[in-house]
Amino acid sequence: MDWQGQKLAKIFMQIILLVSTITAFGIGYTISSFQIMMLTYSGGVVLTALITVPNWPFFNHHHLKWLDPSEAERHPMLQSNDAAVAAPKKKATKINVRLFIPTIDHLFVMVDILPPLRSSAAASISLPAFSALTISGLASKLG
Amino acid sequence: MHSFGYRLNTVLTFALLLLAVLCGAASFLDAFNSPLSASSSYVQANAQVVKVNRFRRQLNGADEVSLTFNVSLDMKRLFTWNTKQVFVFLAAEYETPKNALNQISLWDHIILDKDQAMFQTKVTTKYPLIDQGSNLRGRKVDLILHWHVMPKTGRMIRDKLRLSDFHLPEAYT
Repeated sequence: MDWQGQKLAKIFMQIILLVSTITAFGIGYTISSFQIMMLTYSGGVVLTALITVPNWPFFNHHHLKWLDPSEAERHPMLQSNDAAVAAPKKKATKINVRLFIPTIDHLFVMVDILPPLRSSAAASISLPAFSALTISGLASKLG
Repeated sequence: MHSFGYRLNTVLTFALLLLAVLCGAASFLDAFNSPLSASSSYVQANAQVVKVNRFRRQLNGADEVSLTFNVSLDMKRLFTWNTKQVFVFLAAEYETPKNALNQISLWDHIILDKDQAMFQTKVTTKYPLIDQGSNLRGRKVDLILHWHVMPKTGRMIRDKLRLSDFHLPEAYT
């Protein structure tokens, strides 16, 4: 799913479950049948699971926008682990790495990396960028 | 919400939480319909001892009594939509020099349905009245009807009602 789809799925889940709870209680109380209340509620839960859990197409209408290759070249740390490890020490300034163009909102990676100074620190700096890329890669494959 | 498993987990957890809220609401509103304090006014019952079947002294020195009695019950008003069953038992209470209060259960019954909640039977004691010692000759014994209302969800309500009393014979039969 893409980001908007996930938000939609979350809203669907909360609303439908709440509505089915209230409906189940109302029906059960007026009919005075505990069994009907439980059956109505389970039906609501199954409906929610059917709507929100599988990856329906309408959850994928807002596609993720990936960086163009030219944009990626301007930020050398994104390209590979080795490049990042090889050339860190020269950089003494603060590095801002934005992994996505800000067309995507409320997303999960904006990495501000303070420089430092040793190669081990540089290796650990490259790791979040690498793992962020991997996660987004997986997300694009799944969704 | 980024993967199938994550969404499934979230749905199931939230559903379980709302199920707890639903059960809490069911048991809470139930308490308003049949208030706990007035539960004994919802029950009408009567029990009379017909005869004493056996009154003897056991080998270990304890008295033992077996009775036959008539019991009539009307517990229809205790049943709500949230009631699973009502457990009813008849207890004999008496006082001895050794114990200020003795309570012995003589007979019990499980009522599963509102339709079964009104009946009259003549029944012998399921569990004999056995004393700690031999203090039962000529003793005055009260019959108290206890009931436990077990709900489908929520708190169990316990209450009792004092019915008749009777005297045991002076000598063993």
